[in-house]
Amino acid sequence: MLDAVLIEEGLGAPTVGVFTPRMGIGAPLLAGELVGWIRKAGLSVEVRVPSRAGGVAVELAKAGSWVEYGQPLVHSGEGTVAGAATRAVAGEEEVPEGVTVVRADTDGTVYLRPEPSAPPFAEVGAPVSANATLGLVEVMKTFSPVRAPRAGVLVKTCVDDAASVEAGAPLFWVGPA
Amino acid sequence: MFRRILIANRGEVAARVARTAARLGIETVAVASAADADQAWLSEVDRVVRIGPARAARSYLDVEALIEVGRHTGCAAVHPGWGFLSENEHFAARCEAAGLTFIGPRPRHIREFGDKSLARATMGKLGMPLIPGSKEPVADAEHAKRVAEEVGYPVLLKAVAGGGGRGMRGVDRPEDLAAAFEEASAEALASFGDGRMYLERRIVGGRHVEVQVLGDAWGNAVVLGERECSLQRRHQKVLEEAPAPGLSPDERARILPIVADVVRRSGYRNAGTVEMLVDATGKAYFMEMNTRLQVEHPVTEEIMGVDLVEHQLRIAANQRLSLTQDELVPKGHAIECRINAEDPDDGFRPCPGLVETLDFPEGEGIRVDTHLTAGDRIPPNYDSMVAKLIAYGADRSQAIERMKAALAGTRIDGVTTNIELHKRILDWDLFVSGRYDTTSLETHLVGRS
Repeated sequence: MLDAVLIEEGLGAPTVGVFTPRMGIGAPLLAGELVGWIRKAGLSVEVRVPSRAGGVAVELAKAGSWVEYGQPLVHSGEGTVAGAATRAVAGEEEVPEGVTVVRADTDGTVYLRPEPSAPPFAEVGAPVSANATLGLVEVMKTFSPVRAPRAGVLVKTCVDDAASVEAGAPLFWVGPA
Repeated sequence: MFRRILIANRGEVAARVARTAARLGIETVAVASAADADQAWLSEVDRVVRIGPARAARSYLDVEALIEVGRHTGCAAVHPGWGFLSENEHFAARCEAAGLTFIGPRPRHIREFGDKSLARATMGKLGMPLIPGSKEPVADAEHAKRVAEEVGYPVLLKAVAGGGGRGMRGVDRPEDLAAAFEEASAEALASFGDGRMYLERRIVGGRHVEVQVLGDAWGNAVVLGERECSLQRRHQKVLEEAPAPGLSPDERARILPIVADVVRRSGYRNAGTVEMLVDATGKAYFMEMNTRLQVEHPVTEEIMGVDLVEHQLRIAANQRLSLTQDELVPKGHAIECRINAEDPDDGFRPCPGLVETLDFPEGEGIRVDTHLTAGDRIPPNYDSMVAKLIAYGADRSQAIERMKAALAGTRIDGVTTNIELHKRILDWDLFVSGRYDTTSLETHLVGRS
């Protein structure tokens, strides 16, 4: 089972292969709903609606069409998809006074949990001490901790677990305790 | 010959394969993950398929996706490059089952020579010298002690399932063996789920010398000289050269025919590399075999005047090897510097990012293998290779001088690289003397810091 990719038009293919839609026109894009299947080299993979999607299916890729990664499977109509795609184009939010933004010091992959099933390093709303580990950045299989620059409260995480980031991207907001 | 091939890899090796394919009039299909989709070199191939997200498990390691792309785009064969699935027996077999020729050895050869203990047994049977040690795994510390007395100290304990130095211990004295055995075996069990251990004589200050081989489907096999890869950091090669200063003419004359014979008798097909350890007395022992093209293959190409990728393609297309052993006489000397985006002054921390300037000098005997162009981004998801700088000269000193000039004329902005380290190596008396071994670079680096 794979989550479809959030793209500007709606939902994109999470892998390559032959698409068979399951969802109908007008269906609401609710997290976990079956979009359809992609068959690659004899292996059929379920494609589901990811979290943070929204709106309804306005148009679907045809049954039997061959898709590449990220190619549209579902058009959701204008302005209906929330989340990663829109978050990326929205730019940076205004930082409230007293909040320190912790940024990525290199391109990499950010992990918010020590392992996928574990609780996050730091919970939003919880106090953090100076130098506490907030996440890990992986660069070419080398992992380095992202640390809190000061004691305070974790106000916000700006990225999802396992997100790709570029150097300078905001990762965390740490506010006064 | 194939009309169209799939390159099931990324970066430098993908660009390298595409270049030879284009010269031979073969169309190429490349795959790109989301992290690589904007790389400029992809405009040189006939078709690019976006295969998956940045994560390799769902892109360059996705067997079904790669086979699907190969079949959908009408490819006849798949070049696996190096790394990723290049030494994966299962992938090779799946390609063949799907009607795509795997440009590499037969699946059974990947297994026989890729598995360390199986390779040791196979090579020993075929007449390759092996480092003295236990033929079977040693059962316990007592057994290890008896074998150690036979082979002589210092010894090396190695996990049967090992890799990356885990479950490995050097032992200098008999009284330390029992404790080292228990420790290494427990570590191997924890890391690989297999606590079985081998024991062999430990070669201190050895040299890493490897032999390039080619075999075809018609029972022909040749060796294309050797490469010296002793300049390493944490088992990663930094600079390679050919011919190897660490292999004496006598030992070369003894060992190369044995390697050629082993390859011929095993029926090995396509390109491969037999890695050897040369001890302080100059004697070569089998270490392991890589059943693929190597990163450092250009130094062999330069002294032999061949294109190894072309031969890989021809062999895979069932053509007879057009090279004979007699005409393969090395000429001159070649050195390769691996330019990586990493900071040698900060523990070799990888430094991915935007490459703002990328200028290499041109000149006689200078070759640059790279997939990057200024404006490309080195993604943080894979390796840190920027380029390979290769210098050829009539002799070793000319190759060194040309490499120095090439490094001096190279300009890379935007990412930190190890160019300064290469400049220091080329001025280092131990390197210039050619008397370095696998421990030299790390000792030298520690001495500086």
